[in-house]
Amino acid sequence: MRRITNIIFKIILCILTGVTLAALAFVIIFIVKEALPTFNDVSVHEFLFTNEWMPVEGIGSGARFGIFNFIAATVYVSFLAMLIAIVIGIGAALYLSCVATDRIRGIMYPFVDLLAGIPSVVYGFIGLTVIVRLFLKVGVHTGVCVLAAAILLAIMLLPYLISSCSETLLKNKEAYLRAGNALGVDAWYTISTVILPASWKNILTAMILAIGRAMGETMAVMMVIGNANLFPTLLGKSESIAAVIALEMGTAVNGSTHFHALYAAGLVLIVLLFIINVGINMIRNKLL
Amino acid sequence: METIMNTESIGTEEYVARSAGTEAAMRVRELSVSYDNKETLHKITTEFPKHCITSIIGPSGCGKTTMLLSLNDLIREIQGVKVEGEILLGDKRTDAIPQEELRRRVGLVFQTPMPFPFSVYKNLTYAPRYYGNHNKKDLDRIVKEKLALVGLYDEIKTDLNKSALKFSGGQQQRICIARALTVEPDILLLDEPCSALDVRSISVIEETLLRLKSQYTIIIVTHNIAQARRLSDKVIFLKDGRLIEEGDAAGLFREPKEAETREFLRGIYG
Repeated sequence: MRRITNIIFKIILCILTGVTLAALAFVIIFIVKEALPTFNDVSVHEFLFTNEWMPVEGIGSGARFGIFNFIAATVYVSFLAMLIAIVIGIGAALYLSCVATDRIRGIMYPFVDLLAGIPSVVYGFIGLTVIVRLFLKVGVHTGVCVLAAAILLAIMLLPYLISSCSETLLKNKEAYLRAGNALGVDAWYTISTVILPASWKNILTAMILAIGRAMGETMAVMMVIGNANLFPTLLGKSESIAAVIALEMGTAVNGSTHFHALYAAGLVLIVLLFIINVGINMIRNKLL
Repeated sequence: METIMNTESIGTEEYVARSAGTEAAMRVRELSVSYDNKETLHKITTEFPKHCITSIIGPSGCGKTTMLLSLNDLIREIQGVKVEGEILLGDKRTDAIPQEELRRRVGLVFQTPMPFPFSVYKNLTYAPRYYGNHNKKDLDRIVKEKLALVGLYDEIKTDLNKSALKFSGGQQQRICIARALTVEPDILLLDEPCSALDVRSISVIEETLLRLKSQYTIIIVTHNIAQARRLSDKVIFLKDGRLIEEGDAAGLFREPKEAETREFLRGIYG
């Protein structure tokens, strides 16, 4: 009887795994299928490496589909946000894991988790009313810019980074801080020379998850980045791939090159994410 | 095993011979420790003779580890702890000794081997570097000397750059003992150092401790009565945070004075 139950359990698990893989495969196949017709009208090189995006034919000029600026903006904003978030996130995680008492940790963790659950449109609204206004006050024209988007995105990434980093730091602190203390070594010396280096592998994993979140984030970024097809500069407007898809999908004529080009942009986003994940994983495995 | 049995009797004789005018490496007077107002140790007064192995035994939760952690002040790292009474290292109160110096002089090895996630060489040079020794020749000497002291040098001399985490549990524990010795402590505290190890590793660690006692005062917390018998010169029996009985190992194991000690040794509780 137990053997039969085990077999049934195994079959159920296999089916569930299969469903997950099938869903993923379906999404990828669907996007590839919808994206490929783009390249009947536009070459891959032109699509990836030119920066003119004119989905509607103008007087004397045909439609153009070059997403280089969008790719650059997506990577720029994501990495800038990651840079800001990782510094603050590791600092906060160090505080929570190595300084804060159990009581403070108990109070802080639910707040951090709560931050992760706030809808991105709310973050976007806060970005518009606080960060953009602040930039306006310091003289940035219209207030919306890449830096504003990166700051907002960094705030959104913080809960993920803080909770996963503090978890690994806490685990390593429990393993090594007492050993350092027993040798008479100062706690901060042990933290900086043992605990932090021992946690890098998991911190990089947290970064992979966070970068995925950052590159795919649409609403909040769209609300503060300015949405202009310009090469990204710190205080200038730009537009991310996710924002372009969200803004134009509703107006693209079904089956048109524009429609397929938006799917192709989505495919590029997936490939970019895959390349970055593989890259960080390789660094993680080689360096650590 | 033969070696251990022989050394055991020598150890006991040594303790008896010295016990008349024994110089104590550490003394504890009226030591009480409580966590969040719950008393774990109650007015313990005892001493730890120099160059002897003192075992602290007792049932689970009796305060053995608390007592050990109090000796090098690691107890204060625990939130909500209150320590009363005095602990003397030589003639000096430990609370008058800078914490860094106290922990350097009173080394501690934990129950679970905790090598840092670096090479053996880096593990053993970690504390000397912290204390300002960056001389390569000197560091090489320390690594060789301390690994030899724990009987590990010949075993792993070609693997000094290998991660300490890749060695067996017994080897990791000996690396940790060697690491504790790199800061030249006077006293070595061991908190159930063999509880996670196999029989062969336990035997090697016990041999190591018996070898080390000529140079260091060793205080060990153990659940293993047979191990306490094999190793100890002096035994302290704690129950419910109180010191029930103490004395030279041979005497205490042969003829315990207190009924509670007798019951514990007969395995009625533990």
